[in-house]
Amino acid sequence: MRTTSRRSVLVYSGALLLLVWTLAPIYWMVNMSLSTPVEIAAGRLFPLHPTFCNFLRIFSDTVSCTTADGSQFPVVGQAGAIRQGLINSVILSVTVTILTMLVSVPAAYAIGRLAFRHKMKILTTIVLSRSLPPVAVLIPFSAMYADLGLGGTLLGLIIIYLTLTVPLAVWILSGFFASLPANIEKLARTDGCTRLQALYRVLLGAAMPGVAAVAVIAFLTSWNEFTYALVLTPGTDAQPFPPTLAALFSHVSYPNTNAAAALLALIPVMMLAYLFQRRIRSLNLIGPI
Amino acid sequence: MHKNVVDMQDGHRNQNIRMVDVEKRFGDHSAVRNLNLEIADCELLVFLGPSGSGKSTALNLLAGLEIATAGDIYFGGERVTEMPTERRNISMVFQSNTLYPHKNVRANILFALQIAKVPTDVQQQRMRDITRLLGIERYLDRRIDQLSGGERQRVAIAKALVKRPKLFLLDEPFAALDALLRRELRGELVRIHRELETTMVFVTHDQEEALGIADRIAVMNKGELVQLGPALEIYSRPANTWVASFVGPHSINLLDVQVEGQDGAGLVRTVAGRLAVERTVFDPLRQELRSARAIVGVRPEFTSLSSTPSADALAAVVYSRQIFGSTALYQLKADPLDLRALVPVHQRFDIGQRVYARPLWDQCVWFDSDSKNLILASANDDADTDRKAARL
Repeated sequence: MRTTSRRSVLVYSGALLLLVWTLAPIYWMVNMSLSTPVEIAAGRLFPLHPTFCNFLRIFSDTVSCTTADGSQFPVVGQAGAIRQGLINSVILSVTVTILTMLVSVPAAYAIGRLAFRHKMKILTTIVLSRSLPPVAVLIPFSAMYADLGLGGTLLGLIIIYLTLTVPLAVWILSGFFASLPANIEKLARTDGCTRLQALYRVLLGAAMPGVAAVAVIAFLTSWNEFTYALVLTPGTDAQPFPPTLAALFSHVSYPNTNAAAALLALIPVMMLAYLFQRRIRSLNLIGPI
Repeated sequence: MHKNVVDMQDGHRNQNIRMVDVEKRFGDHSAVRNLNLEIADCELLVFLGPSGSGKSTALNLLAGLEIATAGDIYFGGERVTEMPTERRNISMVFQSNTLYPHKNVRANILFALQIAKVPTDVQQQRMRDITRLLGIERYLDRRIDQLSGGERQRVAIAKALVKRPKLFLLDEPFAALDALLRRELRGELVRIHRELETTMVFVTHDQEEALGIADRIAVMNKGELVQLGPALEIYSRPANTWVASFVGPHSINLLDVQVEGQDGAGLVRTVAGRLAVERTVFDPLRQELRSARAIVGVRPEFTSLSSTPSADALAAVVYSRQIFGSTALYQLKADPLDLRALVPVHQRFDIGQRVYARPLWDQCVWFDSDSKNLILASANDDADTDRKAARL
């Protein structure tokens, strides 16, 4: 009994340490985004006069803001770029997620559930294509895109992002499909399902935790992608949020405002993690049972 | 159409299931050949055979999960050879772990009824009945991964029976469970079969399981039906030496013998010595035999051991011994033969001891030495078998 409680004390203190380790930078970002430059310079751990001025000045080029302690927040002049960046990132991430699922669910089903020649070779090729560092294919992509007129377009980025998400999704999902009970489609048939119903009502239903988790991964991959976006879209209307953020950092010398902008990038990620936490936890990258 | 009307006027529709000249080929390989079989309404038929014998293919053909290459299958008067699975009104239980992992127990059981659009109140009533019958009411809200192997198979059976199928198929449902649990669930299945009066077809490679539950056994080997008959008949009158070896709790002793009649006394000669045979067995054997050679099958459970020699026993040396509680299995060397004898545990013999093994002739089976087919089974009535078994 005593050893058990001693062990759980150890486990919980370890978990606490990890939690602090992970959350401390995020807390610092929140703290900064709600503080004035004076407060930050004083090294305060929490703002005395919390203010939303840092957020306001990102989104508006017309309203200037004064806090309770008298700090002045002049307009930044980047509001248009930031709005456009956020919109682009949402469009990119949602489109890439949907297309990834449309392509990878059937492919993963075939690899995970059906027997055909050269199956492992095909899977290995798909997975290996993901192991290339983005920088290695950056130059061929930019050269091709210059010819094709895809540089500086959302479509160009969508195509590239799919090369990142689809292999990973197929890999994880095919393992997930393979781990489902061997006779589950046959069971569905004997339960009265047609061939098609057995696929979408039973097999897809059983694969749902995996599908949801992979959709989250696809979304986050596109949301966070920086390298391709930085090279292919700067200064165009197609620039997604990460390069916009980087540009903001170099133009604006207010760390509080930069913290507020960086926090914006974190919000959809946290929402997704919260919505899908159960599904993602049940994936375990091994299987359902 | 016309046939249905006749059947309905008859008032008692023929529900038998028939397989006629059924063949299933996969490429060049013929998984099932010449399968002719009639399964009676409410019967519990067991397909028994080693792996690759075609028993599971036969089951899949009944289910419609495979479609026969040739031949026909009838459910009652209706030809269902090419009918898709979902229209056959069958249920199937697979090897353990075949349930929907994303649904809880309740949703698993109700799924087939939802597909069939059965009214909700009827669904609930049927689920209550079937879960009570299987003793799984407590698990209804559990996830599948929270159940043990035995509980999962109970759920699988409940799930299969709740839709009240015309035909209930089971494909080695207990193979992955441990021995005790397997026996318990077998008993349960026999009871459910009695209670629900459903036609059941059960596939297994386990002869003990087959003997234990079957009304009739269909023994399969290499894609062919080798023998079809009541469970005890498969044991006491095996159609050939292969069935004799495959069925039975302990492997049967098969001895090549030369049949030598002497005046007034029966005699067979084995490579390990001569054995006198009772006249009541020997005379009918002489009539059936076409040559002087035969193979005699002596089950270990119908072999007695003694430390004193006799004319109807073979001299042997105890090689090894396993004690099972009330009985003990002796492995014997009667050079050059290996023999097995199952005797009451209180008859103790030590390893290395000289013993005399005596076949109980009225329980032996005789086979043709060329065709390996059955010539004569001495035990003709079950009562006789029971008496011999009780003697052990």
